Amino acid sequence: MARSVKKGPHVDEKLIAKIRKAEATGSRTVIKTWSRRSTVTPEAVGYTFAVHNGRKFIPVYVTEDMVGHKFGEFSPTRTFYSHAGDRKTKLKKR
Amino acid sequence: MNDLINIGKIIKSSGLKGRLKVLSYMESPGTLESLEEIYIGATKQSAIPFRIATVRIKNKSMLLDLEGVKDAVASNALVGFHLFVPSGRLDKLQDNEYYWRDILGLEAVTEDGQRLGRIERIIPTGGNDVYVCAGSEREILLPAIEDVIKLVDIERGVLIVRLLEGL
Repeated sequence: MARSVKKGPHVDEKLIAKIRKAEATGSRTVIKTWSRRSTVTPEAVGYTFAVHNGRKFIPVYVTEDMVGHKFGEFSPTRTFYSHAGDRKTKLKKR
Repeated sequence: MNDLINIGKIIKSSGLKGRLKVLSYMESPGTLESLEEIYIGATKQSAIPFRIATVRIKNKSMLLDLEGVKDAVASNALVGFHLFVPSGRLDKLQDNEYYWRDILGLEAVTEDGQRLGRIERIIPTGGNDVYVCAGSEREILLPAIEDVIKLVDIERGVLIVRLLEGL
């Protein structure tokens, strides 16, 4: 069931504070977070977050199309193994 | 023959008319529909070409009919072998796009020449891919973004990176 619109998106206070601090100082350092349940807000766009997956921190660069999703969606908790085959990887632009 | 790419494995024969069931490793299996020839063998050095009669793609597997493979005896003999296609027949790459096989094994080096280790795995996430660099001291996760991956030199086998603060 979807979250009530009345409440607005949930973002952990500590994470908001880290984003605001990075904004204020203009720093582009990686923001470490354990808060997988927090929603990606427009303020987070352009920053790189290290989102914990239970074992390590997965670096996630936030872009506009990720707004509204949860941070945890971008930090897989299961090890992914696959044949390389014709798989492609693309460098994301800023 | 060194530019052959492993794109699947024959897992069993299907029916009595020589049809093969193949486990596909391909991200875009549609490429196979345009191919006329495919290489089959235990390794790419020993692979021999077969002409494709029909291909039917179904999720992660496909059903393959080959010319010259007409019965279950012939198709059973091919079970366990790998399928290869020449790398030139795969999709064209866009800007800043690379095949996994080209990135895996590259040596990650910082802009000031410090060696970090080799790229051992790629983790696809919903956002940017993450390159797992296994160094001598610790594992480093490199996000596949232009700010971090400064240069991909496949010929020299080097990936020039700029580590972000806090990585």
